[in-house]
Amino acid sequence: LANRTVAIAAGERAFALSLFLPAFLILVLITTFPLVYLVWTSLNRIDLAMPWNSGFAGAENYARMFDDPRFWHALELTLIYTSVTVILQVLIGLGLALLVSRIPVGQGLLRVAVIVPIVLAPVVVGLFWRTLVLAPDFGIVDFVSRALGFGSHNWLGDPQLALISVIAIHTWQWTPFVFLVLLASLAALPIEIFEAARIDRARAWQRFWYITLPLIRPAIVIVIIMRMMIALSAFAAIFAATGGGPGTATEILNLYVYRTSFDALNFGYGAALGVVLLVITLGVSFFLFRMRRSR
Amino acid sequence: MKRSPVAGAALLCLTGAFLILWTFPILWGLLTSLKPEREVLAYPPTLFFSPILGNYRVATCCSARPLSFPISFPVWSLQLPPPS
Repeated sequence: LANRTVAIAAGERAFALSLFLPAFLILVLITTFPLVYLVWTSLNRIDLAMPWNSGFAGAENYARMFDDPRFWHALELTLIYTSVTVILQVLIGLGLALLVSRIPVGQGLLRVAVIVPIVLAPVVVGLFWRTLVLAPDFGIVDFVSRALGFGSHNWLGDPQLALISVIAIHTWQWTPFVFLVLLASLAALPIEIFEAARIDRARAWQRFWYITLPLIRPAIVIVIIMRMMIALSAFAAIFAATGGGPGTATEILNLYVYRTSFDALNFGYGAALGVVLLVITLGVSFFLFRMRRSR
Repeated sequence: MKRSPVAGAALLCLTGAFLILWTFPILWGLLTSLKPEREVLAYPPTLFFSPILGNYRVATCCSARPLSFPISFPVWSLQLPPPS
């Protein structure tokens, strides 16, 4: 009987393994292999503009970044873009969630209305804003700006305005995500604590600062982590709206990776930039997760 | 605690105004999709015009890339999360 039990257990293990292996192999093929290949490429000199220089380069591509002003500029833009979009999304999303949570009827309609930007593909959003909203000739923002007496501006052609515009596009598209998460979080708060606070004559601001905010803090932290990861890897909307231009005005690290790899055809250096972006994203996420656990 | 009707109406107006502002680009896109090309490029932008469905007809049946729509659906269905 013992032999039979062992045989059944072995058979079950083999069956479980046969179920697990295909998914595992596909996962390795589509996630681990490209990652390993990216790191390997970053250690090589692969520049199609100078193919005779190809070969193993070691850490040369990484060392080159220290003397590359365009890399530091892209890194600075990435930090500005990520921090500003995340702060704006959390502030606007939280404000809107607090407003909507007080409305007794029609919340479902509001949720549907707000979710629309999320379901649009980022590349569509970028093209849409470039042509219909921000175009200097017939864009609606330019029309409003002229009507209010601020004059016409080249919203995506002026370096400073272009950066502000791509930040506005990203904020517009992804604030609803923050809004929905925080609205759900607010709806789950126990009402008794707020009633007790009112009996104790706590003001609205005190109730928000000492009760609401600490209770929804886990949701806010998770939202910040997710939004930071997405903002650090933002690409499609900026690519469609400005292509990283004018010049390098909106060239965040991701755009620089793309331009180096597929415009300049320097795959080795592009891969090294990609690895650095990956390390930054992982580092920031790890730091935020650690911060979340430690509290 | 009961909120006064004025405060409630103000809250509703504020939220409504914000949401209209937020969804305005989408609404503007919808409106533009119903305009003939002359109206799309008009300055100042027009709010009142004779709507047409020609743009949708071109997009769905007479597109220069007729396969884009049929291809989108399998891609979209593959991206759907499994039922929980």
